[in-house]
Amino acid sequence: MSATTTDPPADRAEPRRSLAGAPLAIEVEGLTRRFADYTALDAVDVTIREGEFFSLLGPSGCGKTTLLRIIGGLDHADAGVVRIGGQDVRGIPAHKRPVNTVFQSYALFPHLSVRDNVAFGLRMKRVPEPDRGRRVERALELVQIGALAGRKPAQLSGGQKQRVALARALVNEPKVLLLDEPLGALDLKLRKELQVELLSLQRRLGITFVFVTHDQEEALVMSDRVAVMRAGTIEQLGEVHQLYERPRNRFVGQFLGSVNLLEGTVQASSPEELALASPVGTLRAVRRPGDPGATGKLTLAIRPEKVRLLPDFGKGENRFECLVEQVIYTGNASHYHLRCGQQRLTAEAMNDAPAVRGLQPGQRVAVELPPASLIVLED
Amino acid sequence: MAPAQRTIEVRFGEQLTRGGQIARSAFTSGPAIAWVTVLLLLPMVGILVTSVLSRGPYGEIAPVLTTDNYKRLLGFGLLGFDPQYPIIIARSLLLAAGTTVVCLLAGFPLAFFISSLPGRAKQVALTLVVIPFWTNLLIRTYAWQLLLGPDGWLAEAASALGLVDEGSPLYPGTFAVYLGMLCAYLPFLVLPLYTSVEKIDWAIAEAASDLGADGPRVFLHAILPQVMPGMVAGMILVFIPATGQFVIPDLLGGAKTVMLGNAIQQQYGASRDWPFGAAITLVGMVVVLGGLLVQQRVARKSGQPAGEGML
Amino acid sequence: MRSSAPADGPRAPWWLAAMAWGGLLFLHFPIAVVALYAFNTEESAFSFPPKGFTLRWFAAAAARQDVLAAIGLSARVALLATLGALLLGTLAALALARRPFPGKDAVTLVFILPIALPGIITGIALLSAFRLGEVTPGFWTIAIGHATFCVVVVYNNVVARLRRLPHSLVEASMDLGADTFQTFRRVVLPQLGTALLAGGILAFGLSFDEIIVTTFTAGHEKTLPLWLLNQLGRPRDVPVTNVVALTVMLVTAAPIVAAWWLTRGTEDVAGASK
Repeated sequence: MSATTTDPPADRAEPRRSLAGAPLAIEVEGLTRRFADYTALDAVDVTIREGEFFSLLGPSGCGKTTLLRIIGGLDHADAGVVRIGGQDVRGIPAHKRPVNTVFQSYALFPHLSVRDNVAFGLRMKRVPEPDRGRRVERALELVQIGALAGRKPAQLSGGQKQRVALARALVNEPKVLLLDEPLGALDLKLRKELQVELLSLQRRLGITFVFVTHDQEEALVMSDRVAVMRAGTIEQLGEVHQLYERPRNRFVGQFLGSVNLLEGTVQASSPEELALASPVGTLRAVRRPGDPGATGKLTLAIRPEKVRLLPDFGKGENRFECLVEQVIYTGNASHYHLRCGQQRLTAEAMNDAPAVRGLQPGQRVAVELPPASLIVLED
Repeated sequence: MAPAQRTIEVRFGEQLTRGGQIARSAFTSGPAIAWVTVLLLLPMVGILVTSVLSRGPYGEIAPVLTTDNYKRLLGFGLLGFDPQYPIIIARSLLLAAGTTVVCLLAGFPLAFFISSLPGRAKQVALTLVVIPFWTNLLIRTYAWQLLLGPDGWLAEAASALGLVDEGSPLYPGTFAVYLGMLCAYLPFLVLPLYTSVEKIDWAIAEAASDLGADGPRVFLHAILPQVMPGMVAGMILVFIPATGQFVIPDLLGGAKTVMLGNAIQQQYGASRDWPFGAAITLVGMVVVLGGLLVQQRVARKSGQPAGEGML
Repeated sequence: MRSSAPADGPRAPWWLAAMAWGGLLFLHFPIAVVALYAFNTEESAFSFPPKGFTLRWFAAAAARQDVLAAIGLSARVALLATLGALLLGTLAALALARRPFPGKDAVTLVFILPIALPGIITGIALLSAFRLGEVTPGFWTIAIGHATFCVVVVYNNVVARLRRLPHSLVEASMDLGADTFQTFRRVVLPQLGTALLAGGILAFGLSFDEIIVTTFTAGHEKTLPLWLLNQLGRPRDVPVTNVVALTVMLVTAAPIVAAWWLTRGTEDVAGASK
């Protein structure tokens, strides 16, 4: 089951940047990896463009790390092809591939100083002095740990170790940098700092980054494109806002942010729209190219921030009344847990919106689900 | 662009075929395994074979199959019932058993005491146990000779206390032998026992006394089962080598009694009856192997990698 | 379920402590005696208290040809045996540490056997092997014999250390461009440092101290323990014997205890491999 990029008919925001047309840094076709009792990767296809910040996102066990390791040569595939820069790398061992990896546990060599750690790859390639020394110094400056060059890994903090690992990989000027949940072990504040640094680093150097993470926010912040994975397959692949605005199925919808789900039966449909009989009444939804077929049972989704709370009922489609069960204050906005007959909904609204001023649990409120904001899900 | 015919696996970043991996393992572990096989295992097979052969008229090995050697060990000699060798075997086993008991008696207090010490002191105490462990056995035995001899301190102290007659030496004698064995093998018991004692869950003992059990009962039902693995390991570590021990009984017992080790030495030396010597050796080997297998099984049950940490 | 007793277990009652201290004293008694009387002025079998303090026996011992020869032989044999054990044991550990395979227990048993069997059996086996190969007993047979039972000591230490080596270090090295051999040389070997040192020291000590197997594999040479064994029938040589005994104890026990101290608290406790 391969995932393809769908052209974004995005409601609003411009794509972060478009790398369409760039040469391909990595091509993966039909990659399969089976372990004794389960299949880690099931015929996965993916293409990563040069200069891209590409993320593999998914829960643990989805195969993202396995995929990364196979690309890096640290694991083998049972079937399928991996091409790096157009070259088939099967049979090429890890130490000969033009990629470098940043490990989750940093994997710094304990007996070498920071400087020697960073110089390791250059030594293996027999880069002579003074070139080697210069490149090492530059890499250390790049990640801002020049002052720690003489220390041993045991004397460094987590964040510092992470930078050393980064420098050690980057100094080799690889075609592709593979990062395996590099920020996982760091505390929140440090993580956010490093996310921004990593992003600007990638932009500056122009190296292709393949980034594995289970943190959707991290993926959203840094990536050009994201592949959302589950149980060995790619559920959806695309630019970040695209995945957020138009998730294909429940899993993607719920993995990136949260969604409200409305299940029902299709009553009528045309190429541009459909009518769904749902627990809150008949809903009209706009159909888009690439949407699944509109027959029988269907699920619609809508993001909480798109659910409109109205000051009064007025006239309009997709409107109905709900009971406010809970109001959760989050500073600049609030989450409203609503019960509308059999259906539960969560709405999110900024606190200075007139419609929600003074809205309390126990009150009734008019709710509208704009047809253009309803997403047709595949399951 | 067909994939390579041989399946390549990647382990820790290296690409090797299955065959390649096996070849590599064989190449690196081969020398060591071959070394021990040639120098020890094959000769042991040779000993096994020799033990069912006979002794020729001039002391050489005659290629005549016989079970006489084993019969002799069981007491059925050439001239009828001759308990000489069963007695020797029994004597060695008895000494080993006695040593084990004595080591247990001395080892339990030591293990528990060390376990009750605070961190730093614990390390120091363990080091104190280890030091004699690594001191040459011969030297320690020799020292006991001096101490227990006619002019030795302990003999004089003992006669002053009225335990023995004036001027009578404590060595050579059974007491001296057991003293020497204890000194030699106590650390072998204490270290594994200590490992188990460290892991004791005292809450179980508390629960037992909470439920009304008195001191000895608490020990028997709540503590003893928990130290069983370490205790058994230690007992085997004492019993096995002690069975073959003959230097200490010789040095401290006056070389008047024949142990298993002496018997083997005799047959390979003065008596020139290699087949018989081989049979005796085989008995020893069986005892050792049996003990090792038991110990491996106990170690595996308690979650330790078999054979490591103990030996 | 929190116990109110301290983490080490309840404090030991006085009688337990007394028995324990008695045991420790007992273990150290002979050592102390030998050490003490190496300095005694009295020539024959000694009495209490020691008559005087002197160092002249040390000088006497140092002048003895047979003592020096024995020490030299033991040292050379131990060195050779240690090197052999390091080589064989490390290679074997590299091959076998990584994953469980059907014969692993059996292989470990094979390595343990030379040291677990009573010395007399190992000695006889070695002797038969040498006879068969028509090798005359001498320096090399002693060294080979010692190496055989020293292998397991190095093997155990290295395996334990390899277990604790994270796979990611090897992978990182490969990722950075080092092939198998370079990875071994630059990443694995430095990490094995302490294990090799501890194993080597233990092997040296084992070889230096060994008696029974050596009686079978030696020709006319005398290693130090064999020399000591010989001395036991010479009451008039007691003082020199004491001095040599003390020296041997210091030379072998000190580095071994150091190795034990180095590796304590880790899984590969050095002394436990005896």
